[in-house]
Amino acid sequence: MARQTARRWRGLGPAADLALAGLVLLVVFIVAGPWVYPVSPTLVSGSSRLQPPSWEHPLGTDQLGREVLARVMAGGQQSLRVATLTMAFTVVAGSVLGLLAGAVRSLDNLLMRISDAFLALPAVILAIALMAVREPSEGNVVLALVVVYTPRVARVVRGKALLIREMPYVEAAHALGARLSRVARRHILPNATPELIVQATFIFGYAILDEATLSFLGVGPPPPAPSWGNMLAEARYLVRDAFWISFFPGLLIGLAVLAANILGDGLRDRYDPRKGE
Amino acid sequence: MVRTLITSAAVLVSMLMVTGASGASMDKCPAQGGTIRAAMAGSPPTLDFVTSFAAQARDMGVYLYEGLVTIDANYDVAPQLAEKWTASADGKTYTFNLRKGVKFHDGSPVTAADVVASVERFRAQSPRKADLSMVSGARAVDPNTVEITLSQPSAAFVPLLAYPGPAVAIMPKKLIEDVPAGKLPQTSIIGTGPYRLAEWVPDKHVHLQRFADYSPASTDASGYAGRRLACVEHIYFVPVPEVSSRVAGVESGDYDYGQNLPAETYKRLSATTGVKTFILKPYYEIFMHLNTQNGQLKEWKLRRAIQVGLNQEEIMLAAAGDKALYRLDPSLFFKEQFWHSNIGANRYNERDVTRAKALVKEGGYDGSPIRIITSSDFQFMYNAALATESQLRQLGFTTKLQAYDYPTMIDIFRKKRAEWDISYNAFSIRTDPGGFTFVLKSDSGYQPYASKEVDALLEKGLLERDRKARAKIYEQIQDQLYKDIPMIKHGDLFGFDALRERVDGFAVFYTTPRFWNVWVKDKR
Amino acid sequence: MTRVLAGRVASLGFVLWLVTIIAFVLIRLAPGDPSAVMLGSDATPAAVAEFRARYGLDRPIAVQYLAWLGHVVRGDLGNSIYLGRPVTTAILERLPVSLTLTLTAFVIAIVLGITLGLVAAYWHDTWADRAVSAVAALGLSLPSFWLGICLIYLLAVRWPLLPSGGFVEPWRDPPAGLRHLLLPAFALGYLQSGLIARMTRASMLDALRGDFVRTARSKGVGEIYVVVKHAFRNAVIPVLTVSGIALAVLFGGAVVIETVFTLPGVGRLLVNAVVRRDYPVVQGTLLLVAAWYVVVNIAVDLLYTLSDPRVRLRTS
Repeated sequence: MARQTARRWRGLGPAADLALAGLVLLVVFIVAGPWVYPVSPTLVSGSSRLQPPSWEHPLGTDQLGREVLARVMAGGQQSLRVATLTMAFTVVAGSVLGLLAGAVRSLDNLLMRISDAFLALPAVILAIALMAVREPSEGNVVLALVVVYTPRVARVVRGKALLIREMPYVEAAHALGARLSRVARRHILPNATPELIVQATFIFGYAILDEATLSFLGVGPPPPAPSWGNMLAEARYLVRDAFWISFFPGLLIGLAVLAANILGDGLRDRYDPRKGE
Repeated sequence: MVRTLITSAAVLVSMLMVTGASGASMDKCPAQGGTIRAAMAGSPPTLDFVTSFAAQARDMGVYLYEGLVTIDANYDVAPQLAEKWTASADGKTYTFNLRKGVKFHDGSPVTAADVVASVERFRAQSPRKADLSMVSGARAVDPNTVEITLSQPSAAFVPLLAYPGPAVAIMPKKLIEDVPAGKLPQTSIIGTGPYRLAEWVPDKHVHLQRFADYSPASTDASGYAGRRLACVEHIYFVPVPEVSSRVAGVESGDYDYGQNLPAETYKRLSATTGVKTFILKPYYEIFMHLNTQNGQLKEWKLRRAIQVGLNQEEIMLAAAGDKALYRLDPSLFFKEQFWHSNIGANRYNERDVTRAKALVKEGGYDGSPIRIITSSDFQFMYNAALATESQLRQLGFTTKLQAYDYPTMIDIFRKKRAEWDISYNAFSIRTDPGGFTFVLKSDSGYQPYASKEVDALLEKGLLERDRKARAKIYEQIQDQLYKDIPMIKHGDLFGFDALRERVDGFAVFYTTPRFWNVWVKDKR
Repeated sequence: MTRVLAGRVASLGFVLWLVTIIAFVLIRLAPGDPSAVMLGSDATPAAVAEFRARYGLDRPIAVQYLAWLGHVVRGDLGNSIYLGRPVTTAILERLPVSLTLTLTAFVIAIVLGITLGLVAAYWHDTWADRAVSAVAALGLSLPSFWLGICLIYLLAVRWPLLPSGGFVEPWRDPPAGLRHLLLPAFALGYLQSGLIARMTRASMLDALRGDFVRTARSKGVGEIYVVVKHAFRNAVIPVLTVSGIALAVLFGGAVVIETVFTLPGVGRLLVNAVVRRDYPVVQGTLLLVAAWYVVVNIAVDLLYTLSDPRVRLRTS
């Protein structure tokens, strides 16, 4: 199947291809990096404070003597974990809810109103509020983000489900006695999948951004676990004297999210040229 | 490469600016009016500072309130609202004569009844009330004379009455009667100080305004005592918890004063035109409290493991940010004080990692995380906690660190004992060793530690009259602390604040900025 | 028209009501007894008893909700644990700051977004178009706090042109107020301008290809006239929709910007409340933000019906 896909790969356009390649490279760098460069990201060393980037410390050290490259990689791992888990759970939860809303008329109105209520609260604010009632941890950040993003995905899937539901062959199948779940599985889901992939890509990007935001504000996973967000927060006062501490994590956040967005745009253009522009 | 930012010469020079230097003492203001905006490290949780632990509350209390006595530049007792006081022959009765004509911010005159009510409220509600445990009663002899009786004679009484953290502030009786701790409404924040409260919007600013009917003392200004003149009309204390914003604000002139700035910016700020920098020495000593009652550190061997294994040099360097902004010292008291002692030094900064690891095993550590709480308001506390946490992991502990703003951290430290194993703290100078009473005495409930021996020693210390004998008693306390290990000292920290040059006449003292006897050179 | 609008208002009202349920349930998710959660561990037994009576904590959950809701509609959002004052007061004190920031950022987003979108549409498929795309994409990807920090470094520290933070009421001191607003509002508005630019470009292109324009062009009408009078007027509706969303969303972005620039607004209030576990404030802020969203949506709908003749005709 993979080989088939590879052969059929017409490319998504130069920008999106580049973005995809960039993301893959980033993931490899973050995941494999610590193997190649096994330096502790949390070892405090007063004597190596604030070293600018050098051969010994490729990205320098921070105000506590901790290795910035190691921290960037460790922080990246946290971002990747959170983003991947969020993406996975959101797609599942959103699909289930969207399908239910699209396929079962009686639930539609209720589910959509509830999702409207969640959408009335900006993602960041709802996520922050959710962190108020949970202990700050990676798992709870994922939970908060999933709660925040699911309504958005559910809407999309519901839209597709409604569309498909009206199609004559579905009505025919229904008339022939096919159960709802079979209809969902055979017709709605495959049709919704491209859109889901697009959504998943965007969510991946937003999750990286939102996790960094939560960490920056101090409601994410607590120190000393490095996170791109809290690296920026901790080194704010050193922007002038030691810019390398905040620059690299911030840069990576921007690049990762940019890549995800461009990739998502490319995918969307490919699968739904009408929408693209 | 960032090297040692401060040369010895600079340190020597700054020592002159240290606590001893008196703020310019003046008879009248060279210029009147204007506004000062001060960027402070945190936000006071309440302005009822008599009943609060928070340093941020104390920072402003000094402007609004005065006590019977206070401290001068040498940390000795000096008169404030009381112009003189005498002790009876048996040392159990003190008579304070109040200055005449002093008014509260609401215009009412200060009477002995107000003093009595204030002292009683302090004894009932202040977190520092254990310091005055030797007091048995207070009464108004006549409208201008207050008599305070002690259960036993004590050399520490008057110094502890003068200690400003929190001070025994004099407030109007009618406003404080029957008011629970911390619940004083904003309209009741009335004192006799040179500034009155114009407005407090929590997390936004504390706005103080010159009190027109202030009665300055007649003696020269020194420390918190003497002739305090409000030359500047408005002072805004703005909580700016983000250190970078404080630094940037002072650099750009948005703020006239930046409190508690990071060492890395010292060189740059000192070189910035329009900015003056000050080193505060001594400033704070950094401690961590170990929970002796709940959690894993109940086990003495584990506490000993921590004591043996820590490298305090590394921790202080991380906390202070520069070699010249800290020193290692084992004592409860600062080197500059008479009470300083090196007892227990053999158990300070031992750095024996092997021994520590062995003790961790012996102590039966079960692997569950040691929970550390620290404050994000104070960069040095935050960094010290991170450095410690890193070392603890080297010793074989798993750790969990959580940072809060200072008042919240204190809240958890005091009231949620089951939620932490290690808590951070910083002590400012105790002008009288008895000032540690409320910290260490078991019935004050300050920390989980309770020791009958230390309790007894503390009581003795309050009552002993001979200075040398007192020093010996506190030395024994220090020794006991090194044995029981309820607290571990990291070292002495020096502070660094910055001020815009438009403010003239300023000098540092203790831990809070003094904006009386200063004036602004422009008309803003 | 009023009937459609009334229907919309009712629908939004329903949403708001659901948000109150979310806010109510959210707090019950916090570990511990609700009264301890809402009053803090400092509370005296008397305060706890009074609290329990007020919200009927021993009665069924639906009754509790109604009791709480009753207080909410009367403007009583309880007391902040940390600040010891009514939540409503705390929020109202900070609301002007957040509103000023959000509205200024909105203006910047609109101006920047529409301008860029028009440029991209008019010169579509040229380097200008691609440049605008890039700028818009960056806006959606860059972390706002990083942008804010970089802006502070460049424009307030390195070249001290603007203040690094703090808030001055623009109505009290316009020049100083505006100077303090410039950086935070730009950092906030830039991020949303990308979306608006995109939508402007898309709908302008649609409109430019539409019949009205072809007819106008064939009649020999001047180009500018074509663009402004015909194309833009038709393009404005989707732009309006996106703008409405942007305005609502800006409030969320304001949270971070307020922290970076030390603005004493509602966003910072919320973050502090979360860290300090000051639940009444968290709850109150959620309700406020939802109310804001509802208000903005109603306003957008109103403008919608007023501006589009097709909609007006259809509904009358």
